[in-house]
Amino acid sequence: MTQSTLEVSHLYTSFFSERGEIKAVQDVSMRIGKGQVVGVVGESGCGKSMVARSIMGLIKKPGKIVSGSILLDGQELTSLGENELCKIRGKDVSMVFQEPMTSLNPTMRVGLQVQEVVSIHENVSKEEARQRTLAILSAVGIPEVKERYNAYPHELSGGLRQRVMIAMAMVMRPRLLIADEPTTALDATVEAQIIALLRQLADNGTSVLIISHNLGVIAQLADHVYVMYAGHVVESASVFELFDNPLHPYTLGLLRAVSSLRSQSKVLQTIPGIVPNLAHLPVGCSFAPRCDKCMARCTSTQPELVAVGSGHEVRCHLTKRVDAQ
Amino acid sequence: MNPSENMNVVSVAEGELGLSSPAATFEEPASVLRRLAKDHKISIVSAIIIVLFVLGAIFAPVLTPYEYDSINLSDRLAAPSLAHLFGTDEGGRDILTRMLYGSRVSLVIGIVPTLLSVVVGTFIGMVAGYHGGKVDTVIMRVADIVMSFPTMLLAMVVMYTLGGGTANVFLTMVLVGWAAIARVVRAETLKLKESEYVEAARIIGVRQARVILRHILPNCLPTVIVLFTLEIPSSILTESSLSFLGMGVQPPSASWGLMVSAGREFLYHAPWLCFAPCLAIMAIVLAFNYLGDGLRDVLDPHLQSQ
Repeated sequence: MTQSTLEVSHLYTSFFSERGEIKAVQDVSMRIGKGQVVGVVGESGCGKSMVARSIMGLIKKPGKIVSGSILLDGQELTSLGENELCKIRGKDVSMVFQEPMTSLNPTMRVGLQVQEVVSIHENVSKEEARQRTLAILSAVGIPEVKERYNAYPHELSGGLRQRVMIAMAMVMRPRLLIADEPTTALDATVEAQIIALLRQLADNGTSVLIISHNLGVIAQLADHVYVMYAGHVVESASVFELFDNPLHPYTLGLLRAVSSLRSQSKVLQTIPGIVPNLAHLPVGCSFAPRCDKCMARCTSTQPELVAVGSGHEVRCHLTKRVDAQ
Repeated sequence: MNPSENMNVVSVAEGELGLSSPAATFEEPASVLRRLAKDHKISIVSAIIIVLFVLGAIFAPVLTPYEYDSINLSDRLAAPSLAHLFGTDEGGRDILTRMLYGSRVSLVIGIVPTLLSVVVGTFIGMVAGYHGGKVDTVIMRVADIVMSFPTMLLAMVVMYTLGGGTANVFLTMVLVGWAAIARVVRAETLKLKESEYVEAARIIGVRQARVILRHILPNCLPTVIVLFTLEIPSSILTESSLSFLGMGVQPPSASWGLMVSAGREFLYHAPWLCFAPCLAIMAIVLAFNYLGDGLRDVLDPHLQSQ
């Protein structure tokens, strides 16, 4: 990894509600190199999407980025105003949602929705914008583009709509594409096609940040993985390292919870309990209440993120001790 | 006729509309018409009645041999006959003729100020809903004040200070009318603002004004169209009430409310003076209400599934 497209360091994002400060993202740092695919995994409500929204500058009131920096090819994004962000969104950074069924405007022809991105960001003729739209639509694997260009979203299947969304995100050839659970609403065959498409984009030099709770998707796509829990990165490693040598009890739990055809057990392994309320996080390690290896230290002091190997970092008292030996 | 009672009926219909949520899908007007024809025959009948009234208003001079203001004292208060289908009034003027000419006033006052209120209300509602915060609070409190103010009283204040006449009737109706529309559109905008495609539009870098115009307004339109058709009858009734009270259109111009007002004195020995314009008001108000209801049923996917 020579130069990173995205560099997030010590990002804190909070929501200030009547019940107090809700710390959605705490001390998150991540790097994404050019053409690299980085995965973020975790349960619902662990702050994955909030990291994505912070990068896009789409945190809604009463939420805000408290501190930290987000560098896109060296440009600081956290200090930009709404107008500057509008110029960057869609052009340099794009995002694909998990809901292809509802993410397209039902009153606009899909071709025009893709074309809108071009006409907003670049001063080109209608005809050229149209040509580029048709090109990107066929590039994402939509058949009969000329007919589909004039279709309304309700006339397309879920897979095609997700492709249109990806086309919208890709038409300006952004440097970074954030895919927030891009395949959750799709069936397995379409999921495989979309994954192949994302892989292809990365091979062409786009950096991809993929957010998922599906470890299978992450295993197929990502080069590097961040595991998030309650707003923290608890483990970060290359995809092979993470699957071969998971260290954090939460990562172990997630991997155990994946059902396998070869599994001997008849009962699906789960992690007991639920993600803690982000407004009332436990004093020590936020995973301590659910951890089967919880020690006295875990409930009093918060562990630091420590490096345990090349590119492998873990936030756990247990690893610190192992490492020290 | 009791105008205020009828107006309550109309406002109940609006209340229902506010609760139901509108179309999330888009369809071509032709397909809307087909579905109306299939499931809501009464709406089609209503639409035909409305078209007939409009044609009657446009071609009034061709349709009747009489002038609306030509006084013929030998024919005073004549009962309905072949020569005068709805009879004549105290000046011997043909009531059918006056009704046809009066429908010009009533339809224009029904449609034009309503259209203005809808445009103004939609704009204000979208701005309030999209901005939220203080802008929203201020706009909505003003709307609450407007809506809690008795319409007739406000109309009288405007008429007494600025004088009667059509322009001031328009003004009063827009002053009052925008608030109800703004409220519904604001609620709609609040919902659409959170929708994934508005979020998606922001993600691709669409600026605020464009988000409102391209992504929120078209999706509010089904609601706005239904509101428009349901507001028209209340405007027609307001005009009738104002004219009935002598504050709207001034004689010798004809309007239905004015005709009812004039006929009141002769209610016992020449009831046709009131009967014909009342019938016209009732027919057009019912027609617009049924059409609005039909459109709402057809454009609202939540009602369809029931």
